[in-house]
Amino acid sequence: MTSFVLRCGGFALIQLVIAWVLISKGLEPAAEENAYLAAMLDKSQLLADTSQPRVITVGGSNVAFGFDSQSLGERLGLQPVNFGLHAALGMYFPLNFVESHVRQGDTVVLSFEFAVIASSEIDGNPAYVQELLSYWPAAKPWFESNFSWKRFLDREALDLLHQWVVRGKRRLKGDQPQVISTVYQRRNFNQLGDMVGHHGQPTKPWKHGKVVILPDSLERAMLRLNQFHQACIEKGVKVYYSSPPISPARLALFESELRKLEEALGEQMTIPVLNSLDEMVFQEHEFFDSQYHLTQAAAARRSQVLAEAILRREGQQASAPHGNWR
Amino acid sequence: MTFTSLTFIGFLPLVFALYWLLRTPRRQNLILILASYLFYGWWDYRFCALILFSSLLDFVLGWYLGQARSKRARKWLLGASLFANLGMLGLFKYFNFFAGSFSHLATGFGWTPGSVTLNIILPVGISFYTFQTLSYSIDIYRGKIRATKNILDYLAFVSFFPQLVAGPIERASHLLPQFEKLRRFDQGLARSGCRLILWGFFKKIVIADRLGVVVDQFYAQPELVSGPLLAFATVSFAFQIYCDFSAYSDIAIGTGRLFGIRLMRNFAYPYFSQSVGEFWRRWHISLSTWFRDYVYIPLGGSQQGSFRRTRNLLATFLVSGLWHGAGWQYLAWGGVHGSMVASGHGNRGRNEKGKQDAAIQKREGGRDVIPTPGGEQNIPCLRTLLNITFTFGIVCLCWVFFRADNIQDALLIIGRFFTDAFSAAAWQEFFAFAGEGKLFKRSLMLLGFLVAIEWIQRRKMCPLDLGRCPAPMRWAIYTTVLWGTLYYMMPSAGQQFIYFEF
Repeated sequence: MTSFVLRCGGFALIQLVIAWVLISKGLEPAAEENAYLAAMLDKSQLLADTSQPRVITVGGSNVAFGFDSQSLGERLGLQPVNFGLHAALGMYFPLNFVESHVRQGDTVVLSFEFAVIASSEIDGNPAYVQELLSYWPAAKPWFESNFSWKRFLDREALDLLHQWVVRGKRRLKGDQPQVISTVYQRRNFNQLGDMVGHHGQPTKPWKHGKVVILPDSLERAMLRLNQFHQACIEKGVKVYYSSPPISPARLALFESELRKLEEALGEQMTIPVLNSLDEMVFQEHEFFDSQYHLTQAAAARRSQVLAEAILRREGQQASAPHGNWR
Repeated sequence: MTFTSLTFIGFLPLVFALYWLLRTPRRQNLILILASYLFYGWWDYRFCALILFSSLLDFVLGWYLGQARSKRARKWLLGASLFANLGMLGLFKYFNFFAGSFSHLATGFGWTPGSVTLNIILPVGISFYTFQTLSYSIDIYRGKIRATKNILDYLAFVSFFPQLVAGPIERASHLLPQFEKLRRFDQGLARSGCRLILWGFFKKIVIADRLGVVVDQFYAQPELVSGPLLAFATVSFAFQIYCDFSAYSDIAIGTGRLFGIRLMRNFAYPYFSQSVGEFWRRWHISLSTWFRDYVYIPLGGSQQGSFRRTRNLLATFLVSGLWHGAGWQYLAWGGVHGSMVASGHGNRGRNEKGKQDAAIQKREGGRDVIPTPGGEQNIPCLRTLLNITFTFGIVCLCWVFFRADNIQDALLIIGRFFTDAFSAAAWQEFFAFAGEGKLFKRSLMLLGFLVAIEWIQRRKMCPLDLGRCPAPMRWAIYTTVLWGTLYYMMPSAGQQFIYFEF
């Protein structure tokens, strides 16, 4: 027994040394001025500084790449703030942060990626969360309300370890993974929070990600979204939900899951849904490099569609006898 | 709690340390029972009540079976055990399937019955531990074992956490005696256990989860995918399910060894089989021998002529299909395998080679001694290679039924294999996929690596068993496998094992 324990201890010691080298490298923060996720610092500042009344778009990168905030704001007569950055930050962080920063008269448009609202990304990817916290440690409270030790140990810890190892190995080789292209950089967001680094660039091939609905995640998402809605109503803030953009091929590939999701949103969520899934269909060539990232022209079209939907909705509300805008 | 989580990685050394600090079998068993209920209750604490109920029921019935002298009383007691265990399994696993199928059939005859379905969760591992407790009652009835009088030994036998949720399905005659005596630490056994655990992690996290991406992509909408790509996805699935399930068994057996418990071998390089019959002697061995002993032989086995043998084989494989899942596609999967074995493809195992293999097993008298697949030569002869390829092809065709969402999809996919075989457009799509990205190349690389390493090491139970290789080299290889597993893992993919669904 002693011999076995000593051997195991020796082996573990070697692994600890390797882990220390890899993980310490993986934990080193990236150059803040260039990292894509560091743009959240600017977005949070933008949200704090922009005067009311505002239209705040919230979600992952489908929002960051998917709007022309200037034209959206002009059409609605509101000050625009694009608060979308990355699906891997999950749903809780943006909702927690926006909930504490909205004021009476604001309009919030939520548009979360399918994986965020219905499956694995709802809590965010721990590696990306860690990276963001390395640039912005003060953001921790916005994540903490969602932390669960059981979930972390059961699901997230190995993923986190994996990310550190991958990043550590790359850093040992001298790569800088955070600056993965000339597009994904902090400086490529405009003053309203829109990603503009890809404007004018040719589109790239991309793949259709699977759409999975995990009932447990969906239930949690509905609960949090309805809580968010209630908090906004109490503050006099309007909230809408809009589906992320989707290509015809992806819609065909995962139609049954997507329809189920659309039905669940309609039935279980108290937030008014602005568009059907079909209204958010964009052609394959209108996507830049992924299933969610629109080109400049497509983003402008999406903004227009969204603005018209909000105006239509508010027009209906104005003429409704009891003004119940749900 | 799943094996591939940090929770388990922390849980295992803790239980290991506590277990070996204790010096009596009772205390060791008590620790194992507590650890096992914690392990199982980690999914849902209500599951613990179910397994406790199932265990106590069979313990009491087993005790009365041991006491009863009249044949009639013994039959009643066995009937009660069968009714309770199969009833529980039927309720949790098959009620909705049979209710739905009945409703569908009735609608076909113009009668619309009210929809009766139950909103119940399938408790993880119920199919496995139910079969284990059933075998205990049946073996007492047959007089093969004596009923245990010690409840702690029995609870430890049913709930032993490494094999609780996905097997191997142990027999009381093999496992229970191990819990009745004091376990002493065996360094060789523990080291082989660590190797098995490491290899299991690698197979599950690196190979199975990565291949799963390919499989999911093409099986999601088979009507939009060409035949060659579906064939590639099917081969990938064959290895995905093998690596997933055999990895679970490896980790379970390895963990058992850390506690001085020898669990039976569950996989013995099944894809090197030269007939479908041999495949079933190498794939999920604990289940196939269970069905052989408790279904096929009681039905009459091969003793009463070829017609009855065929009927018994088909019935056994159909039940085996149904065990895997409540769906017509599983029945079809079992039916096709049964037909293949009954039609004679399985009989090649009865030739001289088969007899020699059987003789080796009998002589060694051990469960883990399974003949080397594909013969002893390092380079197989052409006939062996053709047999292996042909058998693998048949097994892959059967996997289509297993993986497809329904029978219609399965038939469509098999149809595509043949209709697209000579279609230039279909092959163009295949080569476009092959040439475009890393997914295809990585999948091929993984498959090649797995097949090569398993072939070279097929005389050993674990490919990481490096024999007389110098210690620094062994440690270097283990370290590479460990970090390779962490580096190449698929994030957020490996929380579930496929066989948990069964």
